[in-house]
Amino acid sequence: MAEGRGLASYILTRLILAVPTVLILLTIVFLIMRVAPGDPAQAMLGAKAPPSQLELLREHMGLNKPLYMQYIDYIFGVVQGDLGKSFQFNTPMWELIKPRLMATLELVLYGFTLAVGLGVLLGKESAKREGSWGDFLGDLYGIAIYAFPIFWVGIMAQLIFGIELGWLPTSGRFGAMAPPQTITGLYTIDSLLQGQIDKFIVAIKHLILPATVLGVYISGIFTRITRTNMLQTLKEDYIEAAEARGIKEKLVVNRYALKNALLPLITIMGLQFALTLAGAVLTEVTFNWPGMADFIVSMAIERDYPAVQATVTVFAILVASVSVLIDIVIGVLDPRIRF
Amino acid sequence: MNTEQETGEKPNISIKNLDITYNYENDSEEVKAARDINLDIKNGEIVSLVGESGSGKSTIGSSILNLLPKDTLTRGKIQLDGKNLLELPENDIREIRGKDISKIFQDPMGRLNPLMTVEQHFIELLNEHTDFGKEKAIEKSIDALNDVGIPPNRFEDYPHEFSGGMRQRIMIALALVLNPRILIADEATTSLDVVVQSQILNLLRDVTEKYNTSILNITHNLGVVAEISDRVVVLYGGKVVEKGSAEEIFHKPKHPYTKGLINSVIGLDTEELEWVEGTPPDLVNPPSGCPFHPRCPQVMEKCKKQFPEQTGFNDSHKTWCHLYES
Ligand SMILES: Nc1ncnc2c1ncn2[C@@H]1O[C@H](COP(=O)(O)OP(=O)(O)OP(=O)(O)O)[C@@H](O)[C@H]1O
Ligand code: SF4
Ligand SMILES: [Mg+2]
Repeated sequence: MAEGRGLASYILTRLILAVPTVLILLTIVFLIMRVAPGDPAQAMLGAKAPPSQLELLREHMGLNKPLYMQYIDYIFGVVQGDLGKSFQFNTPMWELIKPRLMATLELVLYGFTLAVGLGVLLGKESAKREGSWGDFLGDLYGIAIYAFPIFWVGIMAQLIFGIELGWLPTSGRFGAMAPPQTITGLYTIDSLLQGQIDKFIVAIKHLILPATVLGVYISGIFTRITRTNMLQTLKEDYIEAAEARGIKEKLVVNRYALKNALLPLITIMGLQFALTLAGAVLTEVTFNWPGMADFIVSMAIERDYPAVQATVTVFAILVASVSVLIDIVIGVLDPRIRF
Repeated sequence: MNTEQETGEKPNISIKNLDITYNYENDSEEVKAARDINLDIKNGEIVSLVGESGSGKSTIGSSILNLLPKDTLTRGKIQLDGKNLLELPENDIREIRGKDISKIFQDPMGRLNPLMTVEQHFIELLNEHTDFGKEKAIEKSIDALNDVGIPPNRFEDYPHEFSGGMRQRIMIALALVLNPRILIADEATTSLDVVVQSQILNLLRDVTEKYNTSILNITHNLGVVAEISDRVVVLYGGKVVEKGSAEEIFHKPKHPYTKGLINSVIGLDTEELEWVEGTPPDLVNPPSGCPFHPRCPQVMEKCKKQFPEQTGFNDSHKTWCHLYES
């Protein structure tokens, strides 16, 4: 009872504390967009644009207003879920970004899950055998994988599994077939929800290479962090005490050492999420994945400033939300934190 | 010691010619942490193992449950019910841990899994060693907690919600819930403040009396030894140098090292065993002959060459010192 209340108030505090974090992130996004050299309107229309047209666009983009008004407009817009309109398409930004965001999330979801699964497994097995050959290999994996350029790994994977063996598609998210009707925006989930196994298989086939490349790449960090934390928790007094009570080794490793080692790991996972997004950017480019990275790059080339600003804003909110989510997960798992 | 008549002379656990060497199978230097240890503990008896830091107390305590590091060589016998614990396969010794022989440690703060409630610790333990149903397991656990003065409404609390003294009580309840034959207490009160320390000692004495459990009490605190022991075994440099009833060790110490210890406590108003002059012996290259000879005020020529034979003053009081050899 008291425990439940502790948890609820903990979660509430986290949510409230997230507000200034998001505000700071949005401010940074705003400042960066303003500090970027050149006049956005000029950049969008090109050097030879007539002044009248330029003036019109500046008005349209709100660039005529004083800076603080622009700032207030931006923040209030975001709060109301209004990310502005794309200059090129004249559609609300959110409609353009949403499918891209879901594509990125689908890639990151599978990649991240694989990374955590692989990293925790290898790290745990490594730590259990500290000092052995197996441990050395696990440790080597943790360091070496991260040292490979993700582009190179991606291209090798495409060459081998896509071109040489012809097993898997090497680019895009769904090929020529019509994607499943949108429920969540994640193709694998939507197809399953609608019982379309054939579409599910297509979606998975497209996901395998990019998600594996991304997942394996990031798993190196998780392997190292799990190993280090496990080695530390295996030396804790409660491990020795559990052994002295005759608790089976498997339970001691999983229920005592791993669970306790996972707490710092989860925190670090939250921090790594931004890094995973960066990895996802590279992966998306390599595999032509129609996600946020692909979008922001083409918008930047088109000099669609409102679109770039909106995409970066979504990234920022995503990172902040994940960090809140991680805090809540930790609060649920660790009874010492809920006070 | 008046339980001897009731329980008879048959030892509960019997350690014979125990040698323990650390780093036996790796590149570091071998440490001869215990040599030729002989020790019997009878039912319901509280035996204290004393000696300065590094004398091998914890090493001996850990060897009983086979909790020493992998590269450690153990020779000799540790007998319980005709079985030599040193030779038991891992699975068999694991079944003994926590059930027939339990252990409690110094510094109770970090001994419980911070992510598990008290209840979960008990249920896990009882699942491991019994086939009690959940109801019976809970009932047993509550009884055990009751014995150590933890009220049932704390059963579902997490470790961090308890003080150090309370955590040690919980550890004791966990150690005793399966009614073990022997409890090994390694510096179990050392990190607690004096009042709590004496509460825990009283508790240990009461509970073990109630269930006829023996205690191997490991400590370098002579105050604790005096408060709780039936018998005392004095260790020096991995060897037993004197043993006897608490009365004999405190009032008629024979070995120069024991005398030094007892006098230092009386003279210096301290209970720590750091007051015998000189440094502890090197266990990689132990001194020849009597290990105490470099520090002994009464050292003789033969002390440097030969380890002394046992001298018995009566059935219980023995020492190993050339001064008493006839
Ligand atoms: N894992 C180990 N590897 C090598 N040497 C060890 C190991 N554990 C203990 N020793 C050494 O064995 C000797 C006995 O140590 P032990 O811990 O048994 O002493 P102790 O009497 O319990 O001392 P304290 O009062 O400090 O707890 C010491 O010299 C110690 O350095
Ligand atoms: S044997 Fe010799 S050195 Fe050892 S304690 Fe006795 S007198 Fe001292
Ligand atoms: Mg010790």
